[in-house]
Amino acid sequence: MQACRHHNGRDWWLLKQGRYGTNEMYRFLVRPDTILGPFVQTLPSPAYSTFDLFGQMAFSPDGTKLAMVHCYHSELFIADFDRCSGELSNAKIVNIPYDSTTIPNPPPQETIDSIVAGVCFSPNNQFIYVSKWYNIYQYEWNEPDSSLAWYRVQHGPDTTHLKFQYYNSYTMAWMAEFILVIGEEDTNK
Amino acid sequence: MILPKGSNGEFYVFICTITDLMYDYWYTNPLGDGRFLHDLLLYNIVDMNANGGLGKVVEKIKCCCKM
Repeated sequence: MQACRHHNGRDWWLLKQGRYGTNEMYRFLVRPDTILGPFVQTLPSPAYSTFDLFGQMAFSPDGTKLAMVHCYHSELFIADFDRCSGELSNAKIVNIPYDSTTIPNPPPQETIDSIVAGVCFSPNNQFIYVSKWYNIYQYEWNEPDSSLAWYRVQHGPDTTHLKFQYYNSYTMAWMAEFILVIGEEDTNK
Repeated sequence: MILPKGSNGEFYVFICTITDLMYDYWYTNPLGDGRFLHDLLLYNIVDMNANGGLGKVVEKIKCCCKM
């Protein structure tokens, strides 16, 4: 669930993924005096078959783009967002790279790094950062070649904190000049 | 999710949760992988000017949407 300010500067759009097993997106227009909706938009193919998993949804700072990840899908959903109508357009799903080589501990490597945790935009709206359990990746929005669009920003944790062995978080955000990843067990960095 | 309700110090507090019916279904028919089906969106309204700035819940557990 995520919100973006309406183009009028007063109201807000609240977006929430729809029912389990659908590709629906529910949106509400939140006004000072009332809440309108839900308005249901069926997203074009491809769609998630399991739409109610853990994950994160994020708007770009300028409110023109939406990105979304789900825990057990190694895929990034991206779409343009209209702050006037609240509708999504140009939706597509991009495969997220995964690392199968250097994860030190079981469970199986390909399993653990297929789990996506969080997503956020860069302040200039052009880059998306995705945290997986053992890596953080950057995706360039305007790069048409998917082999060039991805860049691995961080491989493995850059801390010796035992409670931060993985980026097994559900929340990621840009804080001024650094990326904040909030994990489980009160771990954070 | 907390959103301002205008500019008078009131805020919407949205909570995504499940209905009793869905909970009973999930409890008796676990899907096997721990998925929790959120089919209910609730909201509360908080007035942060009340109680000398400590705030007060002025409307509680309002149904926004049942999916």
